[in-house]
Amino acid sequence: MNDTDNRINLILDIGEMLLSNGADVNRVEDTTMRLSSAFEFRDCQVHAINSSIILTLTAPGDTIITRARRITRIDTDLDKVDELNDLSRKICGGMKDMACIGKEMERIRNSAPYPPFMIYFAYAISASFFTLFFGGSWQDMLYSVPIALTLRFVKVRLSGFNNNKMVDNVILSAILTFMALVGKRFFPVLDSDLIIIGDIMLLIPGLAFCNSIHDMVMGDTISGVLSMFDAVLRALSIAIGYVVVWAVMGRLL
Amino acid sequence: MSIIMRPEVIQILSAGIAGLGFAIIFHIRPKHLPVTFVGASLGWLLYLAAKQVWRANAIGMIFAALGVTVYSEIGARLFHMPVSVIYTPAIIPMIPGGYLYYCMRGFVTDSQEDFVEYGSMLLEDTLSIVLGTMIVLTFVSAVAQKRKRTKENRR
Repeated sequence: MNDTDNRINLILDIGEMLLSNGADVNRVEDTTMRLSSAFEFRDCQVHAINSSIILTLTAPGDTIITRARRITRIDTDLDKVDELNDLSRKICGGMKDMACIGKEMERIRNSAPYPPFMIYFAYAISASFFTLFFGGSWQDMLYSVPIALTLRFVKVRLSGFNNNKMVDNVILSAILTFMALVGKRFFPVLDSDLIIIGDIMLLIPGLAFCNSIHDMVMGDTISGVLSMFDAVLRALSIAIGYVVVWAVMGRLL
Repeated sequence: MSIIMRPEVIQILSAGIAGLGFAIIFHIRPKHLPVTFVGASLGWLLYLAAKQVWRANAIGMIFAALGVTVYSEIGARLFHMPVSVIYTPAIIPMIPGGYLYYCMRGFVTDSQEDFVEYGSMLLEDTLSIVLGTMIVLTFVSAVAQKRKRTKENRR
């Protein structure tokens, strides 16, 4: 692999990592363009949507190169987005040593600002305080915690073999409805509605929704519509899980 | 009743803490967490205040989204971080998860009124958030494009 290939790969790696960690498309295109001109490529054209990046540029020596990357799963790690942003700013500022950049990329790829138990903790905090937010009592807050922890546990397990977020959401919302209804059966003091709402907030595709607004306003209608539809589908899949469990349990309990 | 126990205060604080939890779920660095807490609380504070003044839910939501967007655009420039890092956790407490649930419940319990009422409220809240955000972002993108053009002209 020669120098030009390495550089194009690096640009695409950064773009891919940005996109798959929850950056909006506008930012991905912008960063890719800036990096390309920092590496002295000309006539850079980039087209990114939620699931792919296509990059065409003219390398020194007038060879025209086109590369594409397919993005399959989008997770949310805004810290990586932040760090990649810093890195690309450094590269545009004159940091051109490929070995150095490679080391930095490796560090960002493996970075995790929080240990896994912190994420469990955050799930518990969010769910219980959303329950309070929507008017729940302290008993409801308390009961939403084990549900949130279970959701996180199942979500981590599911991501091992399942790449479809819709299926994820159906399963997760079914589990949470089941647990809330069972809780209501054994502890009548609980309000299962508020517990379910508090925990549902964890599944709601907030990032897809926020990104889609950004993309649409910034003139990227295709990506905006794609993310918005993604958000709607995921909200629907939450509904499917809920409806199925309710239809079965509502009769039994 | 002391001021801390008022339901509004509890809502504002719990929105902030829940937003904070989301910030951790989104892997936002510890040093940026205070900014996200303030953003999430600010959104709900603005919502309650605007709703009190105009007596309309939609206007409350528009103001809250507007305020949060301005806050995140300013914060992003002050603290050198991407806009979405502040914006997303702050907007999440405003997303109408409650209406989504009641709408679903109306659907399964065969209650037309609930389904239509909460469904339309869900739509109203969502559109208001989009509108509030768009008002600010349109300005931001217009200014950004103007700046880019002047820079190119100078070259």
